[in-house]
Amino acid sequence: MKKWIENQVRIGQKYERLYPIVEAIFSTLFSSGATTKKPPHVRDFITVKRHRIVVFFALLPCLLAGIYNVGYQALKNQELTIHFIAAMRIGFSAVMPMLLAVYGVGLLIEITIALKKQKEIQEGLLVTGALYILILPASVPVWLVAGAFAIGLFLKQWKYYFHPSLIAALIVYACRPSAMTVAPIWTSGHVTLWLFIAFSILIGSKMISKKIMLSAYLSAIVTIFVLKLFAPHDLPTAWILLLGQFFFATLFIATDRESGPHIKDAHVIYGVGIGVLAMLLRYITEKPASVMMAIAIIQLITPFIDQWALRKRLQKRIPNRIDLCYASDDHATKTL
Amino acid sequence: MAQVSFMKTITVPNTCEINCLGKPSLEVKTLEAPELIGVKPPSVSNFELCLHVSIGDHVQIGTRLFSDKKYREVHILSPASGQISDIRYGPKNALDVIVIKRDKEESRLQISDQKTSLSTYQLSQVTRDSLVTSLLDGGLWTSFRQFPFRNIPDPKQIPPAIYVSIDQDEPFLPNGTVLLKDHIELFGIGVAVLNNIANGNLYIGVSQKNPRIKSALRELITHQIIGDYPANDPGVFLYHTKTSSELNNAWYITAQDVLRIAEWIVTAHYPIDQLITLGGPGVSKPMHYKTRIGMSIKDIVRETTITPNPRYIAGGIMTGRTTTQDDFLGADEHGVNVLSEETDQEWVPYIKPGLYRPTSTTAFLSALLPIRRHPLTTALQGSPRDCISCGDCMPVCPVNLLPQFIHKHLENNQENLAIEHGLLDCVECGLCSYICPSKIELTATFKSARSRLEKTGVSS
Ligand code: SF4
Ligand code: SF4
Repeated sequence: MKKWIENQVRIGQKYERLYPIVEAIFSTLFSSGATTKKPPHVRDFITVKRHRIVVFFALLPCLLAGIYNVGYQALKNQELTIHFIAAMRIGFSAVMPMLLAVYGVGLLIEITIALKKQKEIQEGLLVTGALYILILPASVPVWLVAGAFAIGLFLKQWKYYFHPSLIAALIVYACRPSAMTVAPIWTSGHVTLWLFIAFSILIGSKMISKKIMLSAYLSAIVTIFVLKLFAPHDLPTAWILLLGQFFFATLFIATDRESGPHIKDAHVIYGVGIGVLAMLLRYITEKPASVMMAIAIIQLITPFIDQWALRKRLQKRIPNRIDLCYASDDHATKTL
Repeated sequence: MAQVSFMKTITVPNTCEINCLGKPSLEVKTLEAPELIGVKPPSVSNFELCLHVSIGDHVQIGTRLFSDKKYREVHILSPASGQISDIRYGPKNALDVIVIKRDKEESRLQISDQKTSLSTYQLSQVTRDSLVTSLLDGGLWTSFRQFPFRNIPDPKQIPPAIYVSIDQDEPFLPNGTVLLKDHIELFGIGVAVLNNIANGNLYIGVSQKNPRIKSALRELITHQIIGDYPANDPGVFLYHTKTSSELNNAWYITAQDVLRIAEWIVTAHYPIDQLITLGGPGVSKPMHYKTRIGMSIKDIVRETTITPNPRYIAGGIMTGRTTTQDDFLGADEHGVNVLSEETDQEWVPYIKPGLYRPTSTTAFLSALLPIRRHPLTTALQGSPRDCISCGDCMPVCPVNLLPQFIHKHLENNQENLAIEHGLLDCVECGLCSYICPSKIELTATFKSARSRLEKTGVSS
């Protein structure tokens, strides 16, 4: 049966245009069954799906805790007794529509793009969708959530160094500035523990860069101290920030490998940039969303940081002079 | 740089251990030469062939079978005596193999008049030109390869340097200790020849994992190399020792060919034996074999295949060539490896914890267990995707390339940029393709870009 369907979407067959959809379904259900055609004859077990699923698993407990938190806050506001099941139920009914809308819109866009380009559907949505929901407050209307996400995904197609969740969240903030002052879904004391677990999973599986995390943290701490020297400010809030919003944002968004620097040598500068800018913005604007803004700004200049790191790296190489590679005269004319 | 008298250490940071089952034991068995011997042209792109024999001709050991059109002094000699029974052609009508039906009593062609063996002392008296002529006559020039395209060098050139790596860490090729056992002295003679040819610019590397050879050849070895696959590749060795652009055109030769050269110099007989491995999870008793050059794959694997659906690979599992039972092993291929063709499908493999998954990453729980060898198969393990910029390919590149960037430049036809990024330093080890979660054929792209460059130069 599976073979039969696969044959129908082969190049030259009647339904070849549906290949991306069939591929997506089968590759989600089964391992690929394809063999290597060119050396190396063996390949590692790692796949893009595995990459995504590890991050998703790290994110999932935070998502559940966030959902609980939404219910918990609602019950608390209504001064009702807080019961785990009740809180989860309320949380789910608030967050589910957002999740469904985001994944629905996301899938629709990914499928359209894949059909248009006739390429395989990419798996990035799994993580970006959940992440996006978590950094928004539960009160944002669903249409805005979905619309902003759609724009984020399109922008991503156009420019590499953008984190679609982040861009989409910033669009929401721009449309509803009030959203910036409300705590996002994930914020609650319950999540911090899960964040630490996520942190261990991601660092342990080397899915994220230690360098980015470390440099962002150290530079943020230094910035807090410097700010304190020049302008006495509310230090405890800043410390809490390091455990909350800042932790979440650096862990899941700043370390994203696609929108962050692609060259490892640029990781420290990128991390320091985020740490310093986040604290400065936070100090100036006093809004929790400032960390997100800081990351977005740094990501805007990340291509340049990457370029710089690349130049430095290439300077270290002993150049290959192609003209020297052609020893005999009949080749000499072919060179530059 | 003249040959250094004390050993230096090179640590190659970006290497990867491929933990595959089927590592050949150190036992060596001799395989008798079978009835049919096949001679393949060297696997280089610059060898344009001029055939000297036709079907039905009788040849002796040492008869010239074909020569290169450009460097007319470069010949391939027959490793067997008998009748040419078949000449097979491959794609684009290129010669694939000359099949010789062996005589019961084999005879040898007297190639050179050099009757007595040369001692190391005498070798130092011989001029470079006469050594080069001797190697050309002896059909051994094709043992040399020149960087960056790994083709056969011009015999009239003096190499900037010659590199020899004693060990090969690709799974699975002959072990340096097995190769040089009882041949230390012969290797010394080979080194003396190379020293002459390279005007003293000789680099000899040994793996740190091979202490016995390291101490036995202490006087000759210039570098000990620390690292897993492919730290001992001569291209990696070159990359980590080169000091100028000129060295990019250095030559290299395998330790096995150093021994063959020495044998030729000492005995004036065309060397017809080679040490090969039969390995991989698809064979019952992986080990080393001493064989005639040009054995068929069938004669090498015999009844040892234990997998129902085998893939025969001439060479190692990372860079070798897929072949069939009816094909022959080239003189420059030193192993046959057998893997299972795996087309079985598994439910949602990416969700499972993966305690026993073979992987060089840390994305499965198997990373927590001690390293063990796995029966690796030919499964692609995933479906092709766009590059997700994960950067996994960078820390495995032994010559510090950024495969992801080079790939993008080549996709955009920016060959100049790819060269600036070091495309010509790529040793085609296959590690970037091996590790890529998007299953992008990075190595194959680089390989074809390099051979395009070799043929046509830079177009943009
Ligand atoms: S680019 Fe890939 S194939 Fe080339 S040397 Fe680096 S890892 Fe090996
Ligand atoms: S390993 Fe593959 S997906 Fe990852 S950066 Fe390299 S080419 Fe891209």
